[in-house]
Amino acid sequence: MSAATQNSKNRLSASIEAFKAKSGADKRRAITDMLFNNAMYIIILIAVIYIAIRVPEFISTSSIVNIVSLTAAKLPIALGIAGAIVLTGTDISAGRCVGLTACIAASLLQMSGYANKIFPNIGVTPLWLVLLAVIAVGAAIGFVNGFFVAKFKLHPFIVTLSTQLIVFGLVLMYLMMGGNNGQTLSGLDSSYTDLVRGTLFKVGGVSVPKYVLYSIILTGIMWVIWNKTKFGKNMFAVGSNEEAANVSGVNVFWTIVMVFVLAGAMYGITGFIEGARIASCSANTGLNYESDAIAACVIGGVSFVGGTGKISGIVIGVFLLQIIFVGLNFLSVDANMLYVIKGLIILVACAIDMRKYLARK
Amino acid sequence: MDNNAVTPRRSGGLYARVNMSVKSANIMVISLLTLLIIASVFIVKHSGFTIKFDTDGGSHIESVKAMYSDTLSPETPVKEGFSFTGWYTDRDCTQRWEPETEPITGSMTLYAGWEKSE
Repeated sequence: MSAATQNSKNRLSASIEAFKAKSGADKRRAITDMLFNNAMYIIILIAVIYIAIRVPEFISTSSIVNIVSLTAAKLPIALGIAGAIVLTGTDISAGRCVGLTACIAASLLQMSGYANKIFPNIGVTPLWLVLLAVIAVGAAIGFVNGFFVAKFKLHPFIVTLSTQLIVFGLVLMYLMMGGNNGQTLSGLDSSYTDLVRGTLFKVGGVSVPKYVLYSIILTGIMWVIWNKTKFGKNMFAVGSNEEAANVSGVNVFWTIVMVFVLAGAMYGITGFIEGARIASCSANTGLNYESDAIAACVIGGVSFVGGTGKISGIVIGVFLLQIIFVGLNFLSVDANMLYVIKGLIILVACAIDMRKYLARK
Repeated sequence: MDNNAVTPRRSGGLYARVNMSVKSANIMVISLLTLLIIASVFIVKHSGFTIKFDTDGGSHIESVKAMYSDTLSPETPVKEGFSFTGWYTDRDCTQRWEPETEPITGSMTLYAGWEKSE
């Protein structure tokens, strides 16, 4: 721990010295670069201070636990999408994919004897089996995405737009099955809700749900995959320059497919958690989740330039975005209006990302 | 297929074909930031959640605007041949909501619960 702080101190002092050595014009440019690159963080900081002053409740324990829990809930999907962004693509089927897997998990885990059960003839399926099933469904959709992107060189926007629609159709058809007739799935078995929403520990009387732990584990797994495996290195190589990666012997096809399969598996896990977290799944579950995740990744420094991004950045990005959303809720901002802010945040974050690229070039 | 170009280390990804000076990028970032700030200020100024009341065929109740942590006191709806059992957050009337004591945390629709009166 002390070695790490020492290291970061050294880096800080080195950068300060490098800054001092610069000439006047260079100094000015370094400052403008810093202001532009961190503009989003500065705006968010000002917003947080403003909200905290106007509504002191915003920085209460229960509110902070709420922000952390929401961050944990939205993190796995962002970790999945980040891989696609590292490859300079994106994945807009993510939200619907979460919706489908959430509905599958909820339908298989309704309590026995519940009046509006979608499949009255099967009891409560074992939890591990459902988890494996939703991961498999997510991975299968990811495979389709990845296959079309890698094999036919189609842009991920187009491929995932079509899978988004296909998956939405599947959700609607799935919800019509049994005697359900498109209704919301609720009445979940307590073993399922306990596993996801049960209390992990309490902070000042406010319980932290168990899915926070799962999110931390998933983040750890993704960190190892990104930083310590050959697949991770290949992913960054393909992202920064596909042709160069191909020349140096990277199997570009399988790298792209696996990035999307991994992302799909993450959406499956998100769906499993989301099903119990919101406890009533409908066709609207997961709507626009991908936009939050993409915004979080870009804010967190996963660049559309390709080949750059850190797991820590994604965590920070998701966290900052949730702070803003919760804060605006405290200011009584309607969910409808929040969409406008979300759209503008994505636009600003991408503009800053592009400026960074241009400044380096 | 532009083979004449010197292949850079990074392909540029989504911005590979962007041809713009840093100065114009600065202007773009600043104008978008200004737009974001103006939109945020406007939205915060016009904040407020809308609470709708669905009386399921009973007397009409106008929707109301409420701020975060407000409580409400809507009038009791009436319906021929039924007695009012309370407000619920779902159409199936399983999740009870007490408008007088429970604080508002977002826009929502409250559904009136009815019981057939003798």
